[in-house]
Amino acid sequence: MTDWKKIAAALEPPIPGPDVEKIVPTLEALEKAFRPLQKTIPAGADVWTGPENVA
Amino acid sequence: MTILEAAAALRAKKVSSLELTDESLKRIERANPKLNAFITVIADSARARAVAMDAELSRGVDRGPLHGLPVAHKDLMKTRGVRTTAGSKLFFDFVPAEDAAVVEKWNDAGVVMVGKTGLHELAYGITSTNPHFGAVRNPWDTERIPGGSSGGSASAVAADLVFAASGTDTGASIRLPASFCGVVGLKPTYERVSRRGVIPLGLTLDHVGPITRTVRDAAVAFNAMAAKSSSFVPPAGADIRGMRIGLPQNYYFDRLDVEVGVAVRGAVQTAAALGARIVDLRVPDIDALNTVARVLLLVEAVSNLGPYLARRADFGADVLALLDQGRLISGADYADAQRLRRMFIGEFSKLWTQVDCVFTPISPIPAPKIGQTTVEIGGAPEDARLASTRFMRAINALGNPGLSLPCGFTKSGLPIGLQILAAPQQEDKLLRIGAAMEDALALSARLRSLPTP
Repeated sequence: MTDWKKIAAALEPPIPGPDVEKIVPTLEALEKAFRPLQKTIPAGADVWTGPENVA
Repeated sequence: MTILEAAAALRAKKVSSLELTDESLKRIERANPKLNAFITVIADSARARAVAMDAELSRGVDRGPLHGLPVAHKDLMKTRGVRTTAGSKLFFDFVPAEDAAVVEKWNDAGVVMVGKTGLHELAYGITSTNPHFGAVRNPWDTERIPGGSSGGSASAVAADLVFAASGTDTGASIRLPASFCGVVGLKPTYERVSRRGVIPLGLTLDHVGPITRTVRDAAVAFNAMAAKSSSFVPPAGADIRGMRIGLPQNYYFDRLDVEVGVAVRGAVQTAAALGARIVDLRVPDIDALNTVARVLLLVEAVSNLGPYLARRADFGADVLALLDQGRLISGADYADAQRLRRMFIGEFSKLWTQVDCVFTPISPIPAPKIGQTTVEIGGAPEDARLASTRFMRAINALGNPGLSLPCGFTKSGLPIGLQILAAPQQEDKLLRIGAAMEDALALSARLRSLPTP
């Protein structure tokens, strides 16, 4: 899992510690849902760039 | 009065634009202390504009059904010479030098802008409980939220303060407040209405659309703002016989308030009674697409608002927390979210070969109370923001049009909304089905019984 606190401390300006504490649970839940989806992306899959660019 | 009724009355000289505008301003003066639907009211310039619109009509210059009617713009749309706050301290004194495209389009159609409506701070949330401008209130129960982010627009239209108001929808922000306030909201196809001059939140997710009291009014208001315009307004007795209405067998009816489920299923039965064909179908993984849409929005919002983050004290706590989350998501994750989005659009496109539209609830719950951060659905607690938007957020990533219209009431008297979805660029079909449903559900008398506070 991502170390959100470490990234937050490295940002400029950094995110204050108490504010990071508040958002970590949400980010952890989002990551838990998002990482498995990333694994379903086929190699070379294109990104969406506009309404005409559909799969 | 609806837009079409007022337009007819104006042309029959039963009423003038100035009289309609004065009435609107009078109602705003009376109701706004209770609803807080408006941030700015421009009474003098509205009256001057109404006089000009009356003069045009008397000279035979007719700009169409919105000519001379009082409307409002969400305070996210730039308005030349009129303060545009985005509901934020960042823009507290911002007076734009130009109009947003949607403001220009409605001006060309002859509207009389009476003011700018309140919203969730920076359009980044669904309560419209604004830390800088106060809570916008729901006219059906002023202790409840109107929804958001276009809460002031929905509250103003529901309370009969204006005929129509503009809104934006990045994850629910037209459709949800329309539903909570018992009015009609149309989120058009992505880019069907220009975003130029709208203070951005999510560049690839923001949609501009109208909020009105009826579906036919929504058609009129949409036609006047669309970049690629249509003149379609559903006729009386709109026929939906043979139309294929998709009824999801997964996700949308799994976790929702009992009364919401009953009302939406009742609407499905109504459609069947009108001769539509109900097609059971399974939708792609909406939870997954909601996740994708959240990643997209978190990053896009911080891309727009990041430059202001040195002024942390100027943000409300909820918006600041979302912006902080966006700063922590990587560019690679954002690109992957855009890959996943494209894959989902491909999956959904197959669905539109099977049906003409899909019926779902707008939200699993009716309007929560102001300050309520969690809701209970089926005995389980859920975050109020994520629960309220989970039937809508994914649709912004797809870019499809979505219509929100009332389909019933809870026992306690709160409106319940039906969401109708269609393939991209199928607004006319959506509006036709919506108008047929609105006629058949016959809620207009109860919806219009809401007294102006």
